[in-house]
Amino acid sequence: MQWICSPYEPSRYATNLRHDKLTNMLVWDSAPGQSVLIVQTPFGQSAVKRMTAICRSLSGMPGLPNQYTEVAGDSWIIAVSAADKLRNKGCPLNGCASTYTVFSYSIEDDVCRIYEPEERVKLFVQASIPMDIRIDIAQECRRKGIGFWGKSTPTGFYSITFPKELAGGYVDGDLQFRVGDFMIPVTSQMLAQRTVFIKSERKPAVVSQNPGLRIAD
Amino acid sequence: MSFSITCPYCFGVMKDNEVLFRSEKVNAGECELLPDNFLDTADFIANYHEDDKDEILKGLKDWDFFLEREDEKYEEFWKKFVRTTEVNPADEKLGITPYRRPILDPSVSEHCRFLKIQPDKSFFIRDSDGMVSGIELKTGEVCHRRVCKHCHNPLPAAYGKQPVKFATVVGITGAGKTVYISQLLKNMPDYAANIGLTAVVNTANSRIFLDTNPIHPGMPLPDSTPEGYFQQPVFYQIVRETGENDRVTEMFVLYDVAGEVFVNPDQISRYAPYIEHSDGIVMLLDPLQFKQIHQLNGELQSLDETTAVLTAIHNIVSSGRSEQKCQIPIAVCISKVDLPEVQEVLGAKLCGMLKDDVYGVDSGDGFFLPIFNAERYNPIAKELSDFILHHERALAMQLRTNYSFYAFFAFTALGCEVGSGEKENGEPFKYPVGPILPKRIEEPIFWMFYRLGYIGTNEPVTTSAAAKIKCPVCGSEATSPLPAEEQIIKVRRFIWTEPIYVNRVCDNPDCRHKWEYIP
Repeated sequence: MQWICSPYEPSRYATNLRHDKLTNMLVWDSAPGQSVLIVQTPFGQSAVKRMTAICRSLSGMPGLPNQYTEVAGDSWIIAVSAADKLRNKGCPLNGCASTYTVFSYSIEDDVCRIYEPEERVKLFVQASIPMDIRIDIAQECRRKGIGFWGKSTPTGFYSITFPKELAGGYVDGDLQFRVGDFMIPVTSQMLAQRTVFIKSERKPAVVSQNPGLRIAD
Repeated sequence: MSFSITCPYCFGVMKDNEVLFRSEKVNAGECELLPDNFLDTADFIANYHEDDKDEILKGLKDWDFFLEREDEKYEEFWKKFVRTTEVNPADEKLGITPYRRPILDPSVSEHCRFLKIQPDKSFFIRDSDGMVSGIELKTGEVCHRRVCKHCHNPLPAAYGKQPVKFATVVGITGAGKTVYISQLLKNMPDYAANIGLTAVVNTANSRIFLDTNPIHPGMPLPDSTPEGYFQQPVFYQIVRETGENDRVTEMFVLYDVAGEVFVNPDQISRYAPYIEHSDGIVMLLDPLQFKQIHQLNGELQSLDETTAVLTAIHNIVSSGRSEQKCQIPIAVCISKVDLPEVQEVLGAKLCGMLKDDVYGVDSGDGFFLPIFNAERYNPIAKELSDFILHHERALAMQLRTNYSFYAFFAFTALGCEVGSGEKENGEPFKYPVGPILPKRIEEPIFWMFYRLGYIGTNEPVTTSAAAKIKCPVCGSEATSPLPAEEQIIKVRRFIWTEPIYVNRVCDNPDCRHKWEYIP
């Protein structure tokens, strides 16, 4: 199949992409019967500017996927027909801390045309969905002494517990530990472990380098 | 049984059997009774001397009665507003001016000779609810065009049978009032269904409004209302269930009034009744009035006029009693929020919320509950309130000081770019490029339904209005702060007195309780 980026076609509009927090689905307005392509990119990055690259990376694919599929490195796409939109009341997310963009498309004679959004409404076709995460940092202590005379003393370690939902789609370095003047990147392996321990005299802080990851107090 | 009708034009009150009617029968051209060799009736009277002169004259006078003519009361009403804005496409096709049709008054004996007596021995045709709906001429024409007996303006069919609520849409010229009303009317049945209500927008008046103010991609937008004119009110009905087998129908009347009239001393008295009788006000703010936005856009408008309009509205409603707040609910709405410069100033978070549709509260059986979805509205209200408080503090203070019930809304009636074109005669016009996707235009109306008690809410509605401080003893909302020198009072405790701090007093003369109010 041939993949072509086409200019805006008013009769095939798709716009007003937004995240319905109650259903946790992406919803949008589109022309009656219009199928769309939802493109997921890193938080804050516009898919509109990447469409040419995405079209190039799609060449060789026999058709558009109806599940989220990775293309062009850090982008995922999913095709949603008008019937799917109606049945599912939108399109499910593929994780937070991402920007989603909606494009209309049409397939004719083995040519798939992906239509650019109208210049004026390029903000309307995307929705940036941050992820709010809560990271627990606790000082590890142990009890010395017996009974009433015992007391809890710090071990010199801090435990850092990551939320389970952070594992999917995480890019190494999005989060970092700040220990004094040192910045230590958090890796996917650390997230998979859920709880890590750091030896430090001062309580470490977790800092987000990804504006799509917001650390809740 | 009689129905009390309040005219939506002059607010005169009358019973349903006191309304007048415009004749369906309109004569044109020359009367066939006039002999050929006479020019007109005057010529006939002067020069005809046969025995059948009286008979022919009577016939000529009856013919003349049904000629189109100027209606003095009607013209007197519309003279205040330059001229009438009444149109009737059906009459236009017949070549008849609707407001020049002869008036028939069943209480005038001279008119009664043309009327057919009905089975109930009156001249009135009544509908299934017993309300007077028409009269019948002896020549067979049934006249259903009711008009007010005071100003001779048309009353829509069935108007007066149900309770009526009046709402006024106010805004500066160009804020988008006509487009807003047109979009609201067109989509009202769908919007009402989302809050468990049924809207009926099939009055002739509403159909004419929609036909004369169409909103379609590529078609010119309605022109701004010329200065001094008064747009025809539009009517729609809302039906709601009040019990398993009961329902209530209410009529809503929407007025489109330019805000500038309230700051013009010459015009304020003409338009004041449309505020005095309002059960709710929708105030549209053109976003170009906000300093931050017009700095980006380059076009300079000002919110000064809006604050002046709010002061004028308050003065009208309070009749000069400046110590009283206006009790009419006022929905303060920022229109055209789809403009790129507006999006830039409002911010991504608020704009994301404004892109969303207004959702109803699902009852679980596929229908929606008669509930204002405050759960979805409150985050928007908070953002808008913060925006206005930080960027247009004078407006926020004006509202807080003078109005008891107000809320902020934002919407786009078109949801698309507006292009500029030129007609064949060189006249410029604006048109919506499309697709037309209005967003959240119904929300201020839903809030008004909530304030009027038609629907409930799923959580307390965020309000920026100053909270009413009630007396803890008698519950009166009429309370006042105490001056500093009266804030320490001595209270007797057994054999000694104790100073107590108080800062609030109840204004109820039978109570006069003093206490410390902690917000």
